[in-house]
Amino acid sequence: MRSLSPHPYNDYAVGNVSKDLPLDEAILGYRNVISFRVRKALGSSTPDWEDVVNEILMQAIEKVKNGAFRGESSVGTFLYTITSRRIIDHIRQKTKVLRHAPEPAPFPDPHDETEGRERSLQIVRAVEKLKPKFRDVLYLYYYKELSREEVAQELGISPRRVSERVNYAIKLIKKSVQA
Amino acid sequence: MRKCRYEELIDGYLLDKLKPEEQTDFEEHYFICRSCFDKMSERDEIVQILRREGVLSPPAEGSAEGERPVSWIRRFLAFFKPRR
Repeated sequence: MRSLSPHPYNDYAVGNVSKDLPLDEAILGYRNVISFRVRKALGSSTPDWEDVVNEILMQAIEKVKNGAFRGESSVGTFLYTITSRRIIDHIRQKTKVLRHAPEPAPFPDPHDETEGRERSLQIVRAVEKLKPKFRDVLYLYYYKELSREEVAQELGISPRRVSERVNYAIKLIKKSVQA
Repeated sequence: MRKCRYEELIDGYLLDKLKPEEQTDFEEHYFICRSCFDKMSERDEIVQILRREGVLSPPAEGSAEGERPVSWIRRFLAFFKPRR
């Protein structure tokens, strides 16, 4: 499976700042991580999540230029703090302003859409090839969102076996998509 | 490769089942742990598709393993299993 989230967790991630990659480029490499965190907090249907991500990146680069980042913590921790604060600010602003105004829907990129569709189909095919015992566990655990113990009870197996099956099913799906 | 101890929190995070302090810890962690972030985003993609595409269906009646009849081969093998 191709890496879904390439980003350079390089030496910056453990706090070393005097490395080959310029710090602002290293910060831009965290776009996927920041995007994930922002989408999770705001919901991916929030049309302006990408703007929030861009603002966070700009703010981080600005802070680096101003010397506000001195490398005492890792770049990851530095970005995590900025991201969390920006998310809180965004939620505060949103609850204040035009709570009932409809948001315009974002325009999807046709290329991304086709690629995403193809990928979904690959995963669907991989799931269809799984044995029922794996599909059952995925259905109860991820779709019905039952706890491990509840799934175990439902299927008459141990909770440990539930985890093993979930992990193995995911591994099989990834393998099948890679092939 | 050693498994990161935070990996166990991936599903809980994706399914919003973590306690608030665990969630904060894990969010801070995946900003500094590439392995956890990659595993989480891979799993998230699969979970999103499973939910969206409706490819899964409820288990068939009597699929609980305790209710399944034991096959003759299992009974045969059980005969040779050392008893405790």
